[in-house]
Amino acid sequence: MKLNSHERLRRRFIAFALLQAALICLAIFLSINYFGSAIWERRDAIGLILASSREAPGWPRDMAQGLQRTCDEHGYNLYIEDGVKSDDSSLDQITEKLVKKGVKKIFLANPGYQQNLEMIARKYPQVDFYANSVGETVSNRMYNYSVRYYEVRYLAGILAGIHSQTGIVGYMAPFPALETRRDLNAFALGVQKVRPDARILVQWTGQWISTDKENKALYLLKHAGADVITYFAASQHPAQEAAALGLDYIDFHGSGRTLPPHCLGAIETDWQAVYGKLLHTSVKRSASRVYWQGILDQVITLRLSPDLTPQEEALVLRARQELLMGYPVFSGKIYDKDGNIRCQEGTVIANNSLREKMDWLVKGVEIIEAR
Amino acid sequence: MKQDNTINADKRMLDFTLHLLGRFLIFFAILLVIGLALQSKMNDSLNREVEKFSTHQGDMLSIVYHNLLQAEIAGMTKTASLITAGKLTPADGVMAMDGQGVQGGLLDINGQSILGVSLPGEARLQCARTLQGEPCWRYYKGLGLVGMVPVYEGQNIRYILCKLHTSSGLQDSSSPFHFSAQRHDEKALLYDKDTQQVMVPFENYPQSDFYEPAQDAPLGVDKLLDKLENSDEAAIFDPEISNGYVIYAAPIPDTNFVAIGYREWRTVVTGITNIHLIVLWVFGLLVVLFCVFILYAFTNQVAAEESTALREARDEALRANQAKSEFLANMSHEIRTPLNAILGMNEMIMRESSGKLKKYAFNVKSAGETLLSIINDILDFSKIEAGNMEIVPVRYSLSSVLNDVYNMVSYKAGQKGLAFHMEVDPNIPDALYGDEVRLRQVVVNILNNAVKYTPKGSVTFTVNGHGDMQSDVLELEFITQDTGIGIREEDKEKLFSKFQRLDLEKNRNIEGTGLGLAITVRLTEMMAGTIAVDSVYGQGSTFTIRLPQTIEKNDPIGDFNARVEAALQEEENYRESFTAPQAHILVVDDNDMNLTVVESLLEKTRINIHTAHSGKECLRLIQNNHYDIIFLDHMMPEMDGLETLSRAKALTTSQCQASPFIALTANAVAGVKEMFLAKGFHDYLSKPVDGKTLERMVQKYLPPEKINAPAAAEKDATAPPLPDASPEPAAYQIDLPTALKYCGGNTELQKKFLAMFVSRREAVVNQLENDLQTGNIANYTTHVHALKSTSLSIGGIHLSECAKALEMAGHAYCDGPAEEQGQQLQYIREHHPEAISLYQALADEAQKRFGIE
Repeated sequence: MKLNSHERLRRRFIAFALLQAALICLAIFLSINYFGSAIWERRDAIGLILASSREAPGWPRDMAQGLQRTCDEHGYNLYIEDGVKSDDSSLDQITEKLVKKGVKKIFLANPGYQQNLEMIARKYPQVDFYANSVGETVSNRMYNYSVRYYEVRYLAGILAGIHSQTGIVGYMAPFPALETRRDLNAFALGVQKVRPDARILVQWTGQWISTDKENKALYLLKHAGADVITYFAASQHPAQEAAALGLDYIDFHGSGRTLPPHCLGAIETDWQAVYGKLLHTSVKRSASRVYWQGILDQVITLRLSPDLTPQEEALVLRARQELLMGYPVFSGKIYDKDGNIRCQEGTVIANNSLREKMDWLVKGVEIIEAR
Repeated sequence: MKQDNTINADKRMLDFTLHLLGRFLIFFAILLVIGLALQSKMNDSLNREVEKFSTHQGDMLSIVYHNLLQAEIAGMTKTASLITAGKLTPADGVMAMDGQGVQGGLLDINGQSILGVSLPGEARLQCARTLQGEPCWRYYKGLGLVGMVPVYEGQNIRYILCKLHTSSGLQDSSSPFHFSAQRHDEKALLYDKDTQQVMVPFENYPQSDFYEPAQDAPLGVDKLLDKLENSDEAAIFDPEISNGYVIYAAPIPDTNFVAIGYREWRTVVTGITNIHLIVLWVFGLLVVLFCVFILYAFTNQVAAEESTALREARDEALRANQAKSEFLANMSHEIRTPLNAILGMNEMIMRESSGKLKKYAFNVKSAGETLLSIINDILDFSKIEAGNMEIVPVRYSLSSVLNDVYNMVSYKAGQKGLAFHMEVDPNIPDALYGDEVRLRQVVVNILNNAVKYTPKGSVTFTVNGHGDMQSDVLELEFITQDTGIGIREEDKEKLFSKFQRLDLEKNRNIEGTGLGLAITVRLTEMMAGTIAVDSVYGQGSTFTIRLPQTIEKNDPIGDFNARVEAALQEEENYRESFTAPQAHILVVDDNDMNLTVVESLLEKTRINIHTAHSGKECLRLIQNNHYDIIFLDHMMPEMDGLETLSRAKALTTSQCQASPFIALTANAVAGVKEMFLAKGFHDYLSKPVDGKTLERMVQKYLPPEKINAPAAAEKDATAPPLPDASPEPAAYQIDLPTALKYCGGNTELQKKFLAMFVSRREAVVNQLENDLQTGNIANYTTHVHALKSTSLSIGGIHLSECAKALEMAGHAYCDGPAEEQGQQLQYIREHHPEAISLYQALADEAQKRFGIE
């Protein structure tokens, strides 16, 4: 009896000792395995600063979602700050907040931040800033990125030129600037390519976003005889208004395709690809500080409506194919409104001119002054 | 049986070893696993570090290639600007670029060749890129590396200038991109992601280990490109891919090219491997330490288990010993009760009988007493073993103890025909504090032993004291020297162990349990004393016992022999029996025999004895009768002695409220007396009761008025006949019978004593006078005390009494109240001359009667 209890005690002791040993072993093993691994597995953080809500339809949402997907794919943490105004010190505060979170690259979605950014970028030399612009002011503290929308505008012009019954196409844009002129010129070249006699009416609204002025501009364009329009605006409102006015239109935002039957096509930007390429490029070592991606990089396209005629579709696709093969939009003989020749046959307008010096409009563009 | 044990022990040893080995192996395996995990983790970390380091190498490589490409572009741009400015015709520009492995060319904006080299159709895309403003490089399979720059015409671009590095030219070591093979431990090549071709290989690339013919690709390129998908640089160290080499890669900015390098792992990590080795070495040391620790822990555990087993065994043994002690105690009680009866009845027989029968009875008594002493020994020893023996220190008189010792031993020695000498240092203080009973037991045991083992010759008992007056501690030294058989040297160690008897062959006639010395040693140790033995075999032994005792009062014991005599005298006086016909006593015992013994022993005193068989009966009797003494047995059925006593005391109708109760018990263990006294008994009498002790006890507790002098006839019968019975003239100072008594009836000795006494007169008188004159009454008291005893021993009763009175006065002077001191001193001064004159008279008489000068 006594021996039994002793034996039992002994067995219990052994079992306990083995269990203890196993636990200690496991603990040591786990601690060895996981100790210091955090250093290797730390993820870099990316920041995105938006002027409007990240849920706003159009650019902001497309950019935010595209960057989010890119970050997911490449294993970055993304912090999105939306509703950041460009005209006060909020950009500075937001940047500081992001830097404190360990953000190494900050993408700015709106061109309007350019001015403040210069100073902020100097404050945080360890952070890469990516401004959404290819304008003149290029600081060595930051990188510029944008998309060659003019290539798709050219396609849109071709589509508008074929589709127009009246031979008058409308173009609504905020105000004359590098980007807007470049896009307008490409659009005009597209229209003239398929319909050399077509009139291209331009209405400046004077605002990036203004529902009233946009409504008014569209109304004027309609009454000037335009039956196909396209626009340059920060919101998708003009597309809705155009549809309401019974105008066919080519949407500047990707989600425009969901509004048949008036939508002929929509400019679609693959922000995931845009950001993917930016993140993948080692900017510090690159000679270039400007990332201006276009149809050759397959980040933009003109998504066509399924309701187009085969002819329209074929023409647009052929033109797109040419662009993909390397055809430059601004090539061949180009006159401006004043009759000056801007490009000779057999030459191409250089990239720098496109980026920084397009202060003219193509011949055939008519600007409607608001009365 | 023994073999069985050996097998068992072997099996246990084997079991234990296997156990230890098994556990050790388990722990070792755990450590090994941990070590391997650590090793792999460290290798992993190291490789990661190597890879990280190598990514920088890749970075550098990429920068170098990038710079080379940039330089090429810069040269071409210069040519283009010259063409733009019209300083150079396009044809000359193209011609200028031609060289070994290099061809120039001019294209229009649609990629159509105008001058020089002609490119394939897909080169148009490169043109488009160039037109978009990026200086552009492309590799065409089978053709080579083409770089393009735009040729401006104003704001616009007119031509595209291109430069082709042919494949064969690139492979040649004279190519500007060919800079590898400069270091033997590093190889670099340029790879195009689009065509998946190696553009610029290093020397002997197709023959090297880094070429994979199956894929026609550099070693590990797939993995590198996978890694480059998510990062700027990549490096791989994977023994599965390339043993001993780190592969690293970095993309060339603004192109689709990748620079790939191979470098020996060893050259990258030269210093780090040392750290690696150090860590492994330290871990190894730790493992060794850990192993030692584990072994130590195991040993400890085993020891703990063993000690548990030992503890269990010890507890078992203690329980057994306890049971044995209890058994012995019970048995002794059971034996003592009938033995009491036997001895009591035997006492009766001895009184009533004569002749042969008396001799037989005497033998019975002797055997009974031996048996009793054996039982006592066993009892004592069992008590010591059980830890129940306690040392109970009390105040006692050392002389009284020595007196008892003398009485007990001298009798036995005398019976054996041995001379017993006792020498007591007269300066030892008499009043001591210690366990008198045990001290006596120790001394008597040793002396009895000496007597027992000494066939002829003498036993000398010496008592010395080594005191320290300050601390009141006296170390008593008892030396027992005999001329006995002695102890063999080899037996000395066994001497004090229990139940051990030495030299059995020689001592087979000597009775004993072998417990005596063991008890003595234990008791000595309990009293913080020591015992030592010194013996020469065949010549005798000397036992020396040293016991520390506390001094109660610093009066010296004085001339012990004289005291012995005095005590003997007292005994003698006491021996005179008594009668008490008016006295009534009650004896309560459940055993008829015991009752009869007591009745018989007290028969001659003519005391009225009532008996009771139980406590109940006792309680009934004390309500009806008055008894002067009640003897109450301890162990009785139903109601024991203690309970009976407490009931009796609580009984209001009792007529014996004031009567002394005396416990009567066979339980003679140490501490019993105190127990009984504490319970309310007046005294305690241990069974078997001997007549003398019983009588003394009765005499002590009977009211004095009920005690009559013994009947004359009886006194004659009991008083020892004196050698010279003639009546003394009242005028004589020297009482001859007294003197003879102190000298054992030896006239010669008496005369010798007397002569000595007379001769010392002058000295003594001078001393006393001196003391008195100097006022040293304490010394005077001591000296007059000595005079008291010595004068008594030579029969000077008057002088002794006078000295005694002076001594009393001296004591009163020294210890009494201050106001009486003058009175006492007055008495001493008045009576001192009386003592001197008595001394003088005694000396004169000695001269007259015994002719002593």
